[in-house]
Amino acid sequence: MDSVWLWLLGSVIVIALIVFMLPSLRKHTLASKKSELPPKPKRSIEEMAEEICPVPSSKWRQDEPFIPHHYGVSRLVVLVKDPYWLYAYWEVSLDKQKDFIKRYGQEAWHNSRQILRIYDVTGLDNQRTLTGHSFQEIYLDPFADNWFIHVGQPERSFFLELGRLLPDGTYINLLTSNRVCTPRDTISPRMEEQWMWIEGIYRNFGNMRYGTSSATLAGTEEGYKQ
Amino acid sequence: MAKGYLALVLHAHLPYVRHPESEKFLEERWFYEALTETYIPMIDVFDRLAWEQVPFRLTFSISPPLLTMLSDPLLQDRYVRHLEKLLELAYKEEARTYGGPFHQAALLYKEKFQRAYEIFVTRYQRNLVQALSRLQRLGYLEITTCAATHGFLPLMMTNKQAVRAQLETAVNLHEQQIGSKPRGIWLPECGYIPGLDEILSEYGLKFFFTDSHGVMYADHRPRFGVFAPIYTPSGVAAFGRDTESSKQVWSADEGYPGDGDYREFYRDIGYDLDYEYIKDYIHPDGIRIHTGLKYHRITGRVDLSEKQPYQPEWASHKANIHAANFMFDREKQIEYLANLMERPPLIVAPYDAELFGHWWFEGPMWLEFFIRKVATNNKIELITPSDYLNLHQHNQMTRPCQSTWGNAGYNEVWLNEKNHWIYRHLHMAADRMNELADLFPTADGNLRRALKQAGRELLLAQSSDWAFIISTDTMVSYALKRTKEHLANFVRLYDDIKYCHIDEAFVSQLEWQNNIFPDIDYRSWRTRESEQERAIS
Repeated sequence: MDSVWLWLLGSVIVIALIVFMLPSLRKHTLASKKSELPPKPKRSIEEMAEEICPVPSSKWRQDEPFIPHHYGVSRLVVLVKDPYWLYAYWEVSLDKQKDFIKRYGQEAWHNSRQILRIYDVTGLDNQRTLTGHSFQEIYLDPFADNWFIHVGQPERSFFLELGRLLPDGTYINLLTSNRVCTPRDTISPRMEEQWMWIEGIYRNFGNMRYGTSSATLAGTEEGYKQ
Repeated sequence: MAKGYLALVLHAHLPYVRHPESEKFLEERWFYEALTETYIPMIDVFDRLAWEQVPFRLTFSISPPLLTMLSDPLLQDRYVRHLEKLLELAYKEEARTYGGPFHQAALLYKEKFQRAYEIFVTRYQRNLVQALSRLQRLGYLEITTCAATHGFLPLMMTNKQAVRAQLETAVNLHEQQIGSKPRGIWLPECGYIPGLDEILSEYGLKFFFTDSHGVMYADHRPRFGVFAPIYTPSGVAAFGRDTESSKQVWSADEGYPGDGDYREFYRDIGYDLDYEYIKDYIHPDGIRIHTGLKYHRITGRVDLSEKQPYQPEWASHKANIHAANFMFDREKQIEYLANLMERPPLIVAPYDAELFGHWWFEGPMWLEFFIRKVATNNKIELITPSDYLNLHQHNQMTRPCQSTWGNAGYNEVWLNEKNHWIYRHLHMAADRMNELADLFPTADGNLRRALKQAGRELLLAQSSDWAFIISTDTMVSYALKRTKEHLANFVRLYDDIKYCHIDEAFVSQLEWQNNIFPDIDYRSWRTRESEQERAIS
């Protein structure tokens, strides 16, 4: 019986040694290869240049620095990805959760669903609007804390709300986001107003000295802006 | 009278990759490679043209991290050692290749490194910032700034104080190093968002650049398209990039750099030669890397093993032809546009500076050929944005479109499934830095040191390079580590400051490790406006 244990112990040691030695052995064989071509990164069709990039060093993988996932601060932030997509992240602090539970009960927290409301506020007052032209709702995974949102509409303004939907259909708002605007994706149809530069001329009018040649004016730095 | 203008814009930037703790960091080599292959050859070209009094005007954008690294004594010393090592290798190679097909190329590198040494050490006493500011003083370059750590501003606008701090730090450093305030800015990644222009104007910045659609998709259709700048409502001018001239140089398929006579980037003796021979010139741990000595030409669409020997004369001949071709095409473009516009058209052609020399080995040579040709051409005039705005003060006013020059033209490269998580941390850190700046209108001693270092850590974490690298899937571990490390340092400094237990040793360690912006003003993050939309709702 004893000898079986010794055998087992011996083989465990041998396996452990192999596991430990393997990376250094592999590195050695790689390094001593006589000739090998560098890895050729994939090139995109459009661009020739890439960022200046050396070979990865394995050194960096050790001792990851710690950053907290939660900061204990309730917030809902929305960002624009492109003309059709938004991205939002949020954190509901424990205090906020406790408040909810205090008002609606522990049951309500567990039975309610986390939802995002996306309000379209295009053309509405820039001050925090309580509601928009319309809103769409997204039912979120219970543990989600960020979401890519397809709005599909360039040049529209949005803000978001994170809330919970109780089983009876009541919506309770927890967080309200900042406001963003999706960018245009085509040339503007607003041609009639293209002569906005006329305003620039009027702006300049206050500082205009009469009876000066255009050459003198051209010489005034920032003539336009003053 | 010229019929049209061409504004060549070179944007030079590298992330802050100074690692005082060890010389083994491969990332620091990004800087050395860019020095040998791009910045020094560029300065060589500009100096030569200036010496011969060839007239030219060019916009050179230099990012604050690069500016700091160029004037950093530790990196300067290390670079000299790096260059000496390269020279040693080049001498060995001269002998080894004698009588063989690679000898011409080996000689070329030897001369190139000797010249780099002469320029870096003898001519500019290791500080190339002098060279650049001199070229500006002489009227050849207009040097513009960039955000402090190349932070991606459109996704930072949830807290405008964070954007202000990026700009204020950059403008101050620029003035200190270059000797005059910057008149324009290269927005990192050409990232523009409506409202950003108002903050630019607070710092006296008169112009910035956008990708083509930034101007083309403006609120009101721009009358001259991208061939004249537009004024934003705050009066800062936006210059849109011309697609045609950009593509001619950039595109891997149609662009000049893909020509068969040009040097092949991916065949390097660091990989090709026997390990025993090359081991002293690659990574000390034996990892094979690019040495910079590359003896093959692109040849054509063939396997790397079938690339043919590089012929320096062929390449130089081709660069000359391509320069002539570029000029011819611009002439035609200008001729066509001039008939449609009631003012001379302006073509804005911005490029990453590192494209010239590093990726496109013959790039600096091409640029020199081109500048010499344009100097005798009466249809094209090289111009900078400031010159243009002095000549044409009245421009259409409308709001540019939110845009970047990244893939797909918007924020996707810096905000996607791989890197989205960084923003919840970056925004929180910015809000907290804002809170600290408001909490301490004045500070001395260790508190002041800790506040300044917190600002540095935040700025370094915000560098757009990390988000970019994370989304490209190369070198991800380094980018992740840098992002997390600076954020973790910030989190600790914030707690230490807030709860009054500043650890002086920790602050000292960070001051030594991440020493960018010695004169940073932590008050740059203070609240300016009464109504501020905070990221915290």
